[in-house]
Amino acid sequence: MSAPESLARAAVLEALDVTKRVKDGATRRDVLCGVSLTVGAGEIVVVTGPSGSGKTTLLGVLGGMLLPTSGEVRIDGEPVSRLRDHHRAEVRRKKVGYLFQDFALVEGMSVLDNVLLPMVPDGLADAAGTKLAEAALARLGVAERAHSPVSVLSGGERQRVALARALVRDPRVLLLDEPTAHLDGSRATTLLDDLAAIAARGAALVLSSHDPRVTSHASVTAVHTLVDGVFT
Amino acid sequence: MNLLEPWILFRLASGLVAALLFARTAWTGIRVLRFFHLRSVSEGQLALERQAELAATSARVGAVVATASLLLSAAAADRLTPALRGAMCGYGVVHANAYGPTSIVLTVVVTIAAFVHIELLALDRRTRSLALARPLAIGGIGLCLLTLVDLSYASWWLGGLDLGVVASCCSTGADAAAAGVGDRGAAAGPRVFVTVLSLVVALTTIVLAVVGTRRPRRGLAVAVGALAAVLLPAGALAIVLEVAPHVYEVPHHRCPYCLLRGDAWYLGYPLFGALIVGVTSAVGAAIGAVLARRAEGEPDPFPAFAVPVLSRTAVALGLALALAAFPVLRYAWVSDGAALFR
Repeated sequence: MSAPESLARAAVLEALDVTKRVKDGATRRDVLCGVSLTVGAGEIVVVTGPSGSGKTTLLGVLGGMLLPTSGEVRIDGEPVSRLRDHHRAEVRRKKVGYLFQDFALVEGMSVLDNVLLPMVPDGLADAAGTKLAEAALARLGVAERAHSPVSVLSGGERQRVALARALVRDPRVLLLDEPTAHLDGSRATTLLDDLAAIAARGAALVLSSHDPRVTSHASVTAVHTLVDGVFT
Repeated sequence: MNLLEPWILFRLASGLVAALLFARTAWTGIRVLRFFHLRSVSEGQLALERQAELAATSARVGAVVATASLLLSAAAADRLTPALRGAMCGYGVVHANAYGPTSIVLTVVVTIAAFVHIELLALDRRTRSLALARPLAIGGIGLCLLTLVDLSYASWWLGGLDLGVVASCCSTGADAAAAGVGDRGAAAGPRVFVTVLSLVVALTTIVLAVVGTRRPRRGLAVAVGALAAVLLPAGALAIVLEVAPHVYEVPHHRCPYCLLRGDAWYLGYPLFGALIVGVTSAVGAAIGAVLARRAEGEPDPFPAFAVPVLSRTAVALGLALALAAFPVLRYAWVSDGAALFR
């Protein structure tokens, strides 16, 4: 095996020449144009760029929630973007954690039930699953809120609950969309330290952010700037 | 043409819809055979992979419509019986012109082929790689061609029905045999051979299918499929030669169409239906055993595919056997054990 091949196999998350084209009225627009990215275990990669540059779309493609128009996304060497829907959903549940910019918590449910959601399709939301969910909440300092409805949480608490939900299945890939957008200075630093600890356990992290606190954090491995769907 | 007859219109319309759906599948199949390259990640390749998913959905719906076509063929033959003088059951309608028998056989073949294709699509869904894309494309094209031929024959048969002539009837054969003109071998010969052969093959297929649900091996699935392929013609013949006379308690009444009538408890529908389902599942399992591919680092998709398919085979053939045995046992009961064939 040659050296480049060896390196490629060590990569947890790979995007290979990914293009995403969307309908924009009567025309079509390339939101991503030939984007390539490799993230290894323990690495934190930040994608920065102006609003509308394609950061959220890139995270969606990397997480298998959006399909590329061309190119391929691999997780642990498996071409996730080319799997059938149910296989891709399975990979997403088992290997990908996603922190949405608006958190996407289910308002009518308790904190604990929200964190248990990724386990429900695989029948893991049992007593053992509940212990894992409580441990994830405890790790992020919101264990005492486990049985509260989501609607009474503050912005920072919501974010930690959403992060606990992303982490509850111990994902290989963690994707975070503007994770510090709602946080003040100290909370942002705490979150970034938490993320560094998660990466240290072997996960590959990709953050989209244009927050200087994120791009300058010591644990960040690489910063890529996305402008009009192209890495500059 | 007799398009104003509702049953003819429904049958031809369902055949047309099935042909269109399979044509959609075949069109994608042709593109897959021409342009599909697993290593490519180009826009065209990815679009083709998604079109193949859509074509699979067309094939699934097409199989349901093909089944409706088979039922409508049977229903049309049955319901048009009063319209043809001399016809007592679907036999008179089907045999009213030269295309009828071939049309019925073709419709059965299309239904079986469509459901075997669906079994293979189920295997494809369990396979993580796209290794089955080409075999499925070939299957889709073949299915489309078969459906078009079937539609042509159905059109010639039903469109060419002359409702003004006197039809023949299955009873003419029975009358001739009763008068000693022909069919003297009803008590022995092919009937006994076919009945024993069907019984042995059906029981062996069921046993092997049950074993296959516990130990899903490729060789076992191929054996089940091969036996089922023998069982389809043998079983159909045994139903005609052995079961039908017992239903009517007349040794020479060997008509499959009469089994579809109310005075035969509509036995033909579940009996032939169970036989077709059992054979279809078994053949699907056998072809799946040959085609199943394991993606690197992933478990073999064949066992998870084979277990439900072989279970369905065993249950359907068991049901067919029970339904076939019922009239024979009933006759033995009401006749105090007297033999129908002497």
